[in-house]
Amino acid sequence: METLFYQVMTGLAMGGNLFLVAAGLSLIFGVLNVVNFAHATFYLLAAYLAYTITAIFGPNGFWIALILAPLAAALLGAIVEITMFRMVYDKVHYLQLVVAWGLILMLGDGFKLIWGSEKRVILTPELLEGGVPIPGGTFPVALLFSMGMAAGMAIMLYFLLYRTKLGLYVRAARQDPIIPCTLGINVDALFTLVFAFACWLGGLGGVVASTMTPAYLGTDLEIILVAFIIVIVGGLGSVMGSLVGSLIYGLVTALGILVVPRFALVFLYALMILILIFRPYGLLGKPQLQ
Amino acid sequence: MVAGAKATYIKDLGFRTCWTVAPDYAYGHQVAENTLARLEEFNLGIKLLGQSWPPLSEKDFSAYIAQIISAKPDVLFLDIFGGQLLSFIKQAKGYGLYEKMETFQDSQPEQIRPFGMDMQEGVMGWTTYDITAPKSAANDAWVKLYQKKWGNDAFPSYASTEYYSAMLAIKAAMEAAGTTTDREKVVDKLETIKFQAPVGKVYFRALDHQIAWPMHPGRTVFLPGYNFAVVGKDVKMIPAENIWRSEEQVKAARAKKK
Repeated sequence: METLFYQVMTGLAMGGNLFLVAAGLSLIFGVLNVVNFAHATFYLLAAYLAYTITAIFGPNGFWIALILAPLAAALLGAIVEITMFRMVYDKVHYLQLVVAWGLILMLGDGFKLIWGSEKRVILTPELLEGGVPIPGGTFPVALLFSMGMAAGMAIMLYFLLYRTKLGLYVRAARQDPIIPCTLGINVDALFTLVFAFACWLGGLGGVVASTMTPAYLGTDLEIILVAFIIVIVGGLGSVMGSLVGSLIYGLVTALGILVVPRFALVFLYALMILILIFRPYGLLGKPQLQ
Repeated sequence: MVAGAKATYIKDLGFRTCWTVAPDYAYGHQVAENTLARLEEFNLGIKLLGQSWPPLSEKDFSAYIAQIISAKPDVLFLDIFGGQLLSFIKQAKGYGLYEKMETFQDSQPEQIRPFGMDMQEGVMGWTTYDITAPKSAANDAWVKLYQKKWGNDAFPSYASTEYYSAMLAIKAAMEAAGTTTDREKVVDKLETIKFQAPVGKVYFRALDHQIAWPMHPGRTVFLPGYNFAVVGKDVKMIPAENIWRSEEQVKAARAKKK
């Protein structure tokens, strides 16, 4: 029983860590109707920046990185939205994918120029080192922090989307961009804000994850694949669906590894296929209006 | 040879149970299989409790680590590398895995240096080279030569050492053959000469051109003056001849393949 509890806690932590990336990906799709495959590249950018900041300021520079790196990701996100993605909002998805792929390659080469091809391990702040005892064993403080950040962000996103005027505009834009237009809202600015905010979330995910995993070229492509599965399971465009999808991902993977280690991944893909068959718009998603 | 080095190193450490972690593709399966075969060969009586096969794209090893901790093996054979190894170590430290069991992992300089001072100290690892493995005048001279070219903050890796040694082999063979242009004569000499590499005098076995390069299993340690861990504690130099497949085994394997 303790083993099961230990594995469940681990699964929840795994899901929580990915929620921050998946939520941004889903938000961009929901509002801007763009599948931004370059989304995890902002995650990687923030992880690299966290490495540089901790290299300069020492392990406690992590807390500075937690503020600055996601902001840098958001700023780059805004620039990219204005200069690249805005041109393809009304175009077919494959053209959007080409733009995203081009961005992944360009930023990847940029990362290589700045940080080289070495793996970059950040210095973990003292506060997040070690573990705490729970039934079944020791649980990493860094994972608890990651779970806390995910839970905090989920609550913040809920209030932001469902309890503020800005959230109302965003939800209206998700239905139809004409609606906020009729209210005198600058939709272009709203789209840039949403894109930048989603990149901020992704960046936050990158900094939080950097306490558990190094930053290296190609990380973004590994993460985006998982984030995409989560978003499909939870519902494309549904931020809360991303939370559900992330937790399902974590639990299915962790328990799958416990039961049939070699085929743990099969459960996840099987679940995705089932959802695509019986509920193609995901668990919490809504069918798109034609 | 890696599997042989592991079995040789742990044979007197009294482990009763083990677990293997290797990437889920041909290399990973082969290395795990070889490790278990060598443990069997050495008759160490170590029971396998389980195996983990993370895919090559895996970044989050939490679920694997939690499962291994619950199984409580005496020793964990960790055969992942690169970014995956770094992720595993970082996550394993949080889970307190190193306090609960011994691990044996790839500890080539390229694998553990990116960790800097954050690397776990005292873990068992194998390497084909480190600035401290072996401790010898030839290795010291190689480090000095490397630093003359790349600066005092740079240290040779196992890859640079092996490529440098390859050049030394070709140079020695050319000198022995008395020619730089007759390829066949140089090749023939490569099969018979011994040459001085940073790790000692080495040679290529004529039968299969396997290099007689020693292995250096040991434990990670921080040495004064270096900002990274090295395999520098309890290092055992194991000659290739002690752990490579014998000529008879190679011939038998070839006959089986035919």
